[in-house]
Amino acid sequence: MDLTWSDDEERFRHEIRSWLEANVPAEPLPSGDTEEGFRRHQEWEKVLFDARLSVVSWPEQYGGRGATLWQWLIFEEEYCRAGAPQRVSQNGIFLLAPILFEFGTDWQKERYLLPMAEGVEQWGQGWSEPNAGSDLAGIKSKADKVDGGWRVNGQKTWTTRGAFCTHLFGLFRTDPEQERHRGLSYLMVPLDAEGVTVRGVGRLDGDEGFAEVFFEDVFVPDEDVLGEVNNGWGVAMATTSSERGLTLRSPGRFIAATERLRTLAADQPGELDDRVADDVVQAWMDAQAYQLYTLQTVTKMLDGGSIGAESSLNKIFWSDMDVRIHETALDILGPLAELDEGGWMKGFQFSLSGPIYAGTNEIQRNVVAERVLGLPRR
Amino acid sequence: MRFAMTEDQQLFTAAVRELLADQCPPDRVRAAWDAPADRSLWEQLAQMGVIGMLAPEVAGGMGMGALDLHPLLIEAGRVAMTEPIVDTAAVAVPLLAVAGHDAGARVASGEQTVALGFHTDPVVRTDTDLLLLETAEGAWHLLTSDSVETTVEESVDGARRLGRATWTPSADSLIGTALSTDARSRAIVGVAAQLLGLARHLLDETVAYVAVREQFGKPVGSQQAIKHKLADVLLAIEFASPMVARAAYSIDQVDADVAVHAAMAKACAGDAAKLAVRHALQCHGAIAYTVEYDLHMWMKRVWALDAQWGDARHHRRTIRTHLNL
Ligand SMILES: Cc1cc2nc3c(=O)[nH]c(=O)nc-3n(C[C@H](O)[C@H](O)[C@H](O)COP(=O)(O)OP(=O)(O)OC[C@H]3O[C@@H](n4cnc5c(N)ncnc54)[C@H](O)[C@@H]3O)c2cc1C
Repeated sequence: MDLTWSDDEERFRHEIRSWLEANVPAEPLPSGDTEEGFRRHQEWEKVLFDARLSVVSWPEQYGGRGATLWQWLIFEEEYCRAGAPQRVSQNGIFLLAPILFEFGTDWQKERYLLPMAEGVEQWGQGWSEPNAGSDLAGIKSKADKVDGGWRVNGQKTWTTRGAFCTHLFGLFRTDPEQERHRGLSYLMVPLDAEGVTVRGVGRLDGDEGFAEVFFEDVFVPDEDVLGEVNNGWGVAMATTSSERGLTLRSPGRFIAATERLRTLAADQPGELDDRVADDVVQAWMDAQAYQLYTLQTVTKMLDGGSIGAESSLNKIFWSDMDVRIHETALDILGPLAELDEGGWMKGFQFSLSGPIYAGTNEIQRNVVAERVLGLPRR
Repeated sequence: MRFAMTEDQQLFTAAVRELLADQCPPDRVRAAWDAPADRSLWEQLAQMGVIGMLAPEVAGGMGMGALDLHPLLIEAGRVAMTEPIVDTAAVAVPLLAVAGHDAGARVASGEQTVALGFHTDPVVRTDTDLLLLETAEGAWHLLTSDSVETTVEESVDGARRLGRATWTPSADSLIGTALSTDARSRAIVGVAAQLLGLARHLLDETVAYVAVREQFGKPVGSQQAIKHKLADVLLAIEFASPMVARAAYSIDQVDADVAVHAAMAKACAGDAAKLAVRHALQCHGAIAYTVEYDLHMWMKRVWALDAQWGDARHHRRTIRTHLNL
């Protein structure tokens, strides 16, 4: 056990911190889940890219710095601490890129990674469908084999920032004879392709952060199949643990959020209600626990271990914690909460989606009970 | 940066776990409700080096730290071991070493056991050879148990022999004054580790039970209401565990925030263990609501230890102060 950072890591932290201090916009950008805000965030992604900070953990040839997992954690901690803009590129860089690195052809890596790092190409995740939510294997959108590629028909839904993205990655049924998890393939589709219609949908928090994507005889060339044909499920599952596990919600985010919560509580005039104070303390402790748990997970990964079903524990923890952090802030704000003082009400509404996306927490609890604890499936 | 126990630490823990599984079965815990436990287990642990682990090598110990000891305390909790391992091995041994007291060697070798009494404690254990007691001013005194008058009190956990101590500090019994902060951190991290072990056992037993208990023609453990409760218990344990390890590490590093880390460890471990009790009982049904079934001894130990040296609410107040709230 050694809970100290090396000199190199401290230097790295210092560099990141100084850069952020000099470059983070003083005025917060408009929400990245609106058209105008998305554009502004895309510009920010380019600024990050130019400083080689948009994808620190990627190899240099794709715009990264080959940062270690520890450096990545430090980067995230500093990034959140500085209150830097939301990462609108996250679905590409955190969810698609790991698959590209693991399963992609050389051509696919050359073609897609750099524009993703630069933020000029933005990716939406096309997994969910109207009848395939938790039961993802119920996917009906299909791709029929044609000369040189696939003809895609069907519909995806709840695609985050789909209305502003340039591309979509997702699962499509390529073998109509096979059922459920079998016969699916992972395709990458440009959203300006002929036959694609995107309709933005307003989210609970008011932003147009969702989209429905319709496919009508859309041609996708063979070179845009990611991984083996009909092995899309295996490809998809290889990355769900990173989505739920590490990359999607780094501890820095909650360390920063609970620090903001602490400040909000401390700045209240008069004595803080004991129960509210207790909730603030609990939220702060939870963020600490999450950070330590992450250090443990990263150590395990660096030792060659993998995070499997345990990533479900992680996902339940951070998403429930995020809701509690925001609920506590609303308690403190009282009647001002309604006015979205400090953005807490909007943040609260977004936090409520955490237990739903990336696999609902009910599904995660099933996974924990069955695959970690070994309880009988039926 | 590295957050993991070493291979040596893991091997030693496994050896202690094996010994405890063999030598501290539920029947031994049950027997402790009727009569104080014999010294056999204590002697074996001493022989393995567990009791004196934190004593310097020159004093017959292993010169190890709280981080090394804490997984063993988790194991002691897992089997609901009754003997005063936290009071003695986790607190008294390092305190007596710091104080340079000659009782240190006898305690580290397993010859004498020690119970701890902070000045805020209403009761102390009465089943040890020595008492290490704190005055309201924070001075620490070592007394033999038979020199201290105690009126017997009954714990909800019948294996814990407790009493109210009446004693008078003297120059002879004084061992030191600046020991309280360290003692408190060591004590609460030690109990936090025990609570984790107790919680693990409650979870393991319940998982095993619900997998075989059938109702409506299938295992009750196949029901989602049961699954989700047990998933929540695991969640609480898994996220409390690194808190306890970090607090133990902070003790060894003499971290400036050790008291905060210890408070967090105790709060999280206590909450996890209480949740484990609630769900273990509920998922077992009436069978766990009987004193004939072993589980009650673990549940009662949790209730006792959760409140000992500050419950979760108490420790959250410590953190509240730290956060300037
Ligand atoms: C903010 C947000 C962003 C999203 N972004 C994307 C995106 O970019 N791309 C994408 O593909 N999807 C996205 N999603 C969709 C998300 O993946 C799904 O909402 C999620 O998988 C749940 O599916 P569902 O909404 O259809 O709910 P359903 O599956 O219909 O579930 C409804 C309720 O039933 C419960 N339930 C279902 N099955 C079980 C079961 N077996 N046991 C116990 N309870 C069960 C669920 O937990 C839930 O509470 C997003 C969702 C949100 C809220």
